[in-house]
Order: sequence, then structure tokens, then C-alpha cells
Amino acid sequence: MKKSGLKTNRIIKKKNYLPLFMSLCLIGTLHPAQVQAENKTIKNINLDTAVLCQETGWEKDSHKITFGSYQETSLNYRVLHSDEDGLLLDCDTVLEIKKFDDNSNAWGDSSLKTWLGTAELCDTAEKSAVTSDRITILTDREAADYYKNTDARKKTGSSNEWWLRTTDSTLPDLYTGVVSDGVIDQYYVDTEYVGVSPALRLNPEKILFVSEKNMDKAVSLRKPAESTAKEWKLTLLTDSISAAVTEGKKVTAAEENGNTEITVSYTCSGDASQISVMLTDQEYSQTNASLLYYGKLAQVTESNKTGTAEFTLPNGYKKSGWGTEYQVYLIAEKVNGSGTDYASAPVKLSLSDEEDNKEESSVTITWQDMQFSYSKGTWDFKEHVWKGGGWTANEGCGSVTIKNTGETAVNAGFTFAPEEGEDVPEVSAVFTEDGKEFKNNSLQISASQKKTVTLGLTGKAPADYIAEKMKIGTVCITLSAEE
Amino acid sequence: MGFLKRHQTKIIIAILLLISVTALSFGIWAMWFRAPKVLDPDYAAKEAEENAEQIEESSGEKLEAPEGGGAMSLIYNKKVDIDLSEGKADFLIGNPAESTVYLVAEIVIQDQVIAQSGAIKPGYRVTELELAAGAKDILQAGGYDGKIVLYMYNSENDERAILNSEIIVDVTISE
Repeated sequence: MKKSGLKTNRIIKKKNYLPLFMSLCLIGTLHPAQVQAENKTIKNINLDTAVLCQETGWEKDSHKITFGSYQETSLNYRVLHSDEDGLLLDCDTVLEIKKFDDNSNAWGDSSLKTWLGTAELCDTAEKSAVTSDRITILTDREAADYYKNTDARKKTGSSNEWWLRTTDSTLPDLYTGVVSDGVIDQYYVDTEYVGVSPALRLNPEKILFVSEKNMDKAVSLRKPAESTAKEWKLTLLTDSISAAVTEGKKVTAAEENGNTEITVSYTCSGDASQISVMLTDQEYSQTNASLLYYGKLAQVTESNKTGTAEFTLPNGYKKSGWGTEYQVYLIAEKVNGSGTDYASAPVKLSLSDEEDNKEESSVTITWQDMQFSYSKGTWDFKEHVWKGGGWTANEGCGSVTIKNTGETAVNAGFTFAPEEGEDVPEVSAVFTEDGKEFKNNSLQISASQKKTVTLGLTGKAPADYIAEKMKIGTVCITLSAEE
Repeated sequence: MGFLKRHQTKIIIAILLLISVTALSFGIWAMWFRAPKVLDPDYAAKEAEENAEQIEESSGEKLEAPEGGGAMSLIYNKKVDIDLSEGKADFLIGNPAESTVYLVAEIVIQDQVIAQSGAIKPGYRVTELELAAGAKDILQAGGYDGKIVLYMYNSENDERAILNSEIIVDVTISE
């Protein structure tokens, strides 16, 4: 046996007296820390994955996440730590017995790293959530800091002993690992009975939810329940699924029997299996955002990716608070039983502003006669063409005046629809205010304000055109709310 | 030759049969399944809108309209509620007595005219319209971007104005 009896580099976990102090505070008094601890209650579905981490270090009954698989068996990972580098997961089992290397303790060139780079431990979508796309093994520092005790570090599987990445190697033929009793020790690099147990960091920005492993997501909108579960799964954000409110449709609310019924028309793409809705206390991507309500709106199939769904706003949630006191999101999800689920980027829903729309608006529109004359211009004897011709408004013709007699601003858009017909000359319109064209042919008119717009026509009539009185188009004024 | 002739006859019969089936299918589709279409009013509506109500607060003093042109005073809101079970649209178009024109209003969703008013004379307003025939078959509950198209007609000679107007509205349909 080459197993090292060398304990020179054993890493001893530093004692942390903070938990003891906190416990004393909790037992002795109603210290504010108690309130803080209660706020971190774990629900059966959570936006924040950090709730699964235990500050005192991972121990035997701490949380695990199902993520990926090896040789068609799902893998469970221990949730060790969460920080700005991501969510640190360590596999619950030892997958294969592997030598670290034949003769070197350099991680970068080791055969163990090469094996990890080629082993299929998760699918492409899962891998995209792994930071740097890299599955690795735990470092000796991480194993020391994020496990509560030696007992917690114990693993089973192909071996009871597993490799760690050495952060401070002094001897070229030694490398760290965890021995069967959970102690961190050193092995010769070519030891043949130590196994590989993968570890990885997940990008929190790619994780939408962490939910109970066996949670039924096909439920109507409800408040997440408190949970004592230890096995969890992730819902990862993916670009391959999308959700949207159907173009041209709005999210509406109707009061029925004291309830507020919300109607939303949805469209999704990708291989989504359901449309879900969630309510959060702030923007879902904020660090401290909490999930208030979650539920399924509709089943989605390959052939039916659009529809209209309804849900009832929970008691105590008012329309007036939508978008300020709470946010509402539409999500397309691919739910995969106990495996990793996938979700579209949540789409924030806005409620159609009915109250504003119920306000009366009023305008007066006066328009002059719209008679125009066409002149061919003067004949150029040298070039044999008509020059200087065009359309001019007859005297007292061509202008429209709009006065906003209401209390809110309105937008007035101007369009010209040419008349169709073989004998009708092709013209296009130019709208001006005080001789100047205006952006998008649209004017904002404030309360009590009056604006006058003049129509001009451009375009050449055919050389054989004989002027006669005919309708050549219609002016349309589009009134809309202030943009 | 006799065989060939019989064969040709069979082919002709088959083609004629196919044409007949196609024509019959088209006829059934046109009668029963084609989306209903309400035609735009090219001419002035003869009948006053039966749901029109008199606007009490109208002054009655006509706006000054340029010669050959027109003047319209318009009251509206930007919301249309449609109740499919009642087959009605709730909205507001008011044409105060100051106007020199009368109006015909159409509620349009995704280029489909789903309701059309009769003549809304100066001094009247409309807050409710029956849905057009067949409109209920193509509508489903939800929120929509829609518009109310207004056609204006000279009150004195019924001539349609060279100008029309649209109001952008939010349409909510409930069942």
C-alpha cells in the first residue's frame, strides 16, 4: 500500500466559534439574529439557491441537488456553498476509481482532469450553467472549509476515498484526497484505489428556481409551501425556449365575485411543456427577490403553443400594486420529472391600464376643402421635357386643425391613403406644421392646445395626363394616447 | 380504339367529379366557415344608430367649418369592452351638437370589423353596439389592440368627407 502515512500537509479545518455564539444568542434572548434566521425559511420552490447552503458547513442530512447523470444514473450533488463565484456542488458519490496521474501531480496535465473533460456527466443545457463549462473536483481548501466535519465528507460508490485538488503541493509525487474516514490526507499520484467524485460551480444567473425534487409543478397559482425536503432539483434558464404575450393582445383584469381574474394570451416556442406564472416581491433577478406565488397556467404541446389562460390574483393582491408592490411574470417551462427542468427568460407582464383608458378624451377637428391642382410646368424645348410642374393646394384648401379639448394629451398621426385606379395619378403626401415636416407624421397635442397641419402632395402625373376632377386619396387622422 | 375512348371518358368523368367536389367544398366553406366581413360604408348610413343617446350638455352652437371642409367635435375613450355572451361592445363615441358632420363608427380588431354603428348624428353619443353577425365565432376572451374607425358625412348633403379618423383603443373581450 502506497497510501501515505505522511500527515505533514493535513489540512485542519479552522474552528469557527460563530455558530456557538449564535446558538447562545438564540437560546438566551430574542436577539435580532433570530428574526434573520427565520426569514431564510426554505420553501418548496425558491428563486435563491443559497437558501440550501448551511453556514456551518455541509453535514450528513444537508441538502442535495439532482444534476446530470453518469451511465444513465442520476447524480446527486451536495450543496456546499454559494458566493459570487457561483453555487458550489460536490458529487454525493465516487463515480470511478482513477489514478490521479502516472507520475505527476500537476493538475493541468493530469489524466484525472482529462477524464473529467471527456466524461459525460450532464447534458449540453446543464453544462451551459456550469461556470467556465468545466466540471472539476473539489479543492482541499473547499473540502476543509465547506464540510462541517470529517464524517460529512465520507462518500460511497466505486471507492470510499476520493481525490481533491491540491492547492499547495510541496512534494512532486503526492496529491491530496479524502480517506475513508473523511480525513483529508495525501496519496501518491498513481494510487489505484482512490476514486473521482466530480464537483462544479453553477452560474446563479442561469438558475431560475430550485424546487423540491418531486414537486408537482402542474399546480394552480399558489404560495410556495415551507419545506423540510433535502433533495432538490433546478430549473435552468435556456435560450431554446421562449414565452411572450401574443402580439396585439394585452393582459387584462376583470372583477368577478370579489376576485380579480387575469386573462393573458400567450405564445411560446421551443420544446416547452407548460406555461407558468409567478409573482415576486421585486424584479426576479434581484439578489433578494422572493417568490410569492407560482403556478401552471396551461399545458403546451408541439402543435399547440398559443392560447389564452386565466388566473386569479391571490387574496390581498390588488391591481394597483401590480408592477410596484409585486411583479408578475410569464414563463415557458420544460418540466422533466425529477431531473433538471428548463425555463424561458421570465417575461414581465404589464396590466392594461384600464383606468386611464376610461377617461374621456375630446378633440375638435376642422378641415378645409382638400382640392389640389396639377400643373405640368413649362415645356423645355431643348430637353423636350416638362419642368417645374407639380401639385399645389387650391386657395383655402389643404389644412387640418386639431384642438385638444380634453384634459390629457393626445397623439395625432396623419396618413394619406392614395385612391386606387388606372386613371388616378400616383401621388404621395407630405404633412407639415408651420412649413416643417414632423417626426413620424405624428404630433403630440397637450390639453387645450391647437395645432394646424398642412397637406402637400408630391408626384408626377403621366405626360398624357389630362386634368379632371377626381378623388385621389383620403387623409386619415389617428388619435392615440400620449406615448 | 374503343378501349381508349372508354378510358378517356372515365378520365373526363373523374375530372368533372373532382371539379364538382372542389366547387361544393368551396361553397360550403364560403357559406359556413369564411370569416365574417362587414363592408366599409362607402355611402352614408341611412338609418340613425338605434343605441344613440342624446348628449345633454351639448351647446348646439355649430363649429365654424371652412367652405368645402367640415368640423367635428368628438368625445371618446380608449377602451372597448366586449361581452361575447351578450354579443355587445361597450365603448364611447360622442358627436356633440357642435359638429357639422355625422359619424359612422366601426370597431376593428386585426383588420376584422366586429361591430358597426348606424349614423351618429350631431348631439348624440353611442356607448353600446351589437356585434356584427359571425363576430362571436372569431373572437375569444383576452385583450387586444384595436381601433375605432370613424367615417364622417356632411350633415346637409350626406357627402362623405375626404378625411376620416381612427382612435387606437384597448379591447377586452370576456365570455
